Amino acid sequence: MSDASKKPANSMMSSGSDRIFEYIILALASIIVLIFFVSLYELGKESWPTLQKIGFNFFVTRDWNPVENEYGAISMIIGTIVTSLAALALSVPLAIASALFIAEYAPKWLADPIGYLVELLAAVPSVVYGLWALFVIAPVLNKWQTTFFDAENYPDRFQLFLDCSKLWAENQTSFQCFFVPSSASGRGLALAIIILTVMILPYTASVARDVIKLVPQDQREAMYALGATKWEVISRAILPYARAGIMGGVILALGRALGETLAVAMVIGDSQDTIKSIWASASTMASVIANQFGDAQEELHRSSVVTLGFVLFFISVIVNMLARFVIQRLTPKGIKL
Amino acid sequence: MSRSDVSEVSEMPETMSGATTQMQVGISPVRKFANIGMSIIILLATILVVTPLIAIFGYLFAEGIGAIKLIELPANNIRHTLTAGSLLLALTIMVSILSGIALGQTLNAKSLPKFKLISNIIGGAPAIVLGISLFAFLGLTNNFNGFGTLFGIAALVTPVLFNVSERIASNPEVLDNMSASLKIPKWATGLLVALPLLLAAGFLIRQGLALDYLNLDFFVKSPAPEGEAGGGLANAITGSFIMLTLASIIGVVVGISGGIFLAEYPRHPLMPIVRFLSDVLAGIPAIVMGLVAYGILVSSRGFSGYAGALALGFLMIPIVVRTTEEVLKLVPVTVREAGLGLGLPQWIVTLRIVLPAAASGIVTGIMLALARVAGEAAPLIFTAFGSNIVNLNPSQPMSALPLEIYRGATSAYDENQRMAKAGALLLISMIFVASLLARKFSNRK
Repeated sequence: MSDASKKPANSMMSSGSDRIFEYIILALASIIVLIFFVSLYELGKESWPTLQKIGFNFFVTRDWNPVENEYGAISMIIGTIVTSLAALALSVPLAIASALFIAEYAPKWLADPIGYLVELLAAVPSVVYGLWALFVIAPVLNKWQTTFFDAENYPDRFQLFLDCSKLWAENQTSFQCFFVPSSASGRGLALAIIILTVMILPYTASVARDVIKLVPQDQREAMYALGATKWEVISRAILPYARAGIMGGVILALGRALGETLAVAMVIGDSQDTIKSIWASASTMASVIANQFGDAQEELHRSSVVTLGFVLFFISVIVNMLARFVIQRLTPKGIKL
Repeated sequence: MSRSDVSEVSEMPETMSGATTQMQVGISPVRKFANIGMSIIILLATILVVTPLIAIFGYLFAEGIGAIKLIELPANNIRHTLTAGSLLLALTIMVSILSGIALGQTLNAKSLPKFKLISNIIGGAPAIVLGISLFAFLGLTNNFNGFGTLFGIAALVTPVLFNVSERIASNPEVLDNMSASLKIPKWATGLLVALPLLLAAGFLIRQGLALDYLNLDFFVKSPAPEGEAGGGLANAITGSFIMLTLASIIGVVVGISGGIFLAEYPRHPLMPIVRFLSDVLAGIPAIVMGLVAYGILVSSRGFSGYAGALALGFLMIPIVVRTTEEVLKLVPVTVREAGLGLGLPQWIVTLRIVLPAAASGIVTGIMLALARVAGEAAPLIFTAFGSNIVNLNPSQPMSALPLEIYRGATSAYDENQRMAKAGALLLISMIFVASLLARKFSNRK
């Protein structure tokens, strides 16, 4: 009797405590949802003046002039896209190659330490990359750039620079002039692209390595049995099989590149002019936030800077959704990533 | 490239005879060339990928150490430096190989799990301690940077050598041969593991005491006025420590709960939303999180350490959520069923059985999240703002290491730039140790 009466009481108690626990966990987990909506609200509230007064023109005009209270973000949007895509184009082949080396070529005793080094590359903070770019790479670029201003020793280059300056003065550029330095500070768009390339390498590389390791051994063996060479196995069997995961890693890296702030802010030069040379100063949305938010006194200036953050917020949401979509679309049937 | 050759290969499955012909014919030179060429390209690309890390590390060693001035020797004695440096280099390589072998042996001796843990910790230590003793020696190379770079490379080579020799030594056959020839009992192996550690520590202490130049200003003083020499980064070190502690409270509580929610309540209607938003939060740039924290706390109450900690905590949450969810899912269902079968309510099963089983993975996640946010300066610029004095009260503006690095590196003064380099060296070393520890933890899984 006592057993029978105990049991339901016990289970009722446990289900009651279970429910309390569930509520606590749910409440704490909803903080994540809350953070998202609070972010949305705070960014929306701060950027409201700009959206109201400037509206859509904010995204299509070029003038960014705090003195005249004119704000147009197109040059930063272009700067963000150019730096991110160029860095992506440079880093993806390197990242996939290093992933292949770690997963396919290197013996285990070498693969593990190299994989570790690549992961450490992701652990280096943004400011440290910026510092390194500023103190090590910039002087090297600077040395080369100075040759364009040296009429005595490099008359050809100096002449080229003079020709290009005329073109630049008319707000134009040509293919050749695009690669001629417009100043000799070392900083600028190109340095930002270089440092971004290094920074996003590990994201693609480690994701690609993981998915390449997931490719079933059967796939490789079947290809080898047909007499394929190692490279043929990689290019025809492994990479197609792993493409969904690799693309996911690429998009992850793209997201990082778009939002990368301090390293870029330190080296890009913060200029809102038209990009006339790859060596010239430019700006990205994130770098403008870092460089200008602290100094922004005018309400509209501050609001415009936050609007850039708002745009970045939406871009990162879209990139995240894109990554999910791509992985779903490209995953060969029967694989669980 | 050999496109036609390749298509020939992929058409092969249709006929058996095709495969036999291929085998008889062998591999055409073009395909052979493509194969070898690509492997060389891949090797070169990998070297290129790893180079920046070595370069950064070497540079910071060479430059940062001069600003820390842990040990200062009369300069202008390059030959002395070279001799001492080469000796240290040889010592480093020897010790790392030795300790690796010793650790590999210990790990495979099927000893008690406790002993394994200890040797694991000690095994990670030689690399760190050797790094520190390299710090000491680099004090000699204040005005000889190329040599400092060499040492940076040596410091990176150490863990690699250590790993390699550990792996070789944990091969049972090597172990059998060695223990047979050396006849070492278990405790002696333990001593052998600890020996390099003691040697390196003793070396460091002896150097420090004998020279009497140990300069701790860097760790205990606030920055000197802008552009002046001297001072330290004590304000940044304490600020980073306080804000990271506060941030981990937010990140760990919400992160682990979120992970439990995603892993243990997969059928809850809110689950997909939480998972999606957590992924989205992981992708939001740190500086945008700084703007959000600014809106929440700073616009009404002014700059404070709390606001900085809030932004960092927000950044930690998605990383902890993801790793917690992943490791909780690795805990077998049978373990949960065993607990439920004993009549335990589900929450006790979750808290007392599932969580402890996944503890090492969760700790890894927390370490990774900490390593990630410890280097973030972007969200702190408008929240914690920075402070030139040591400030222990989080409701006031606070400094942090990455913030000081950012300010110093963009400063026009040479002294501030040197301080930034020293801070970067400290920060990067701490982050590397954290990820090293995280790796050790996850390896035990």
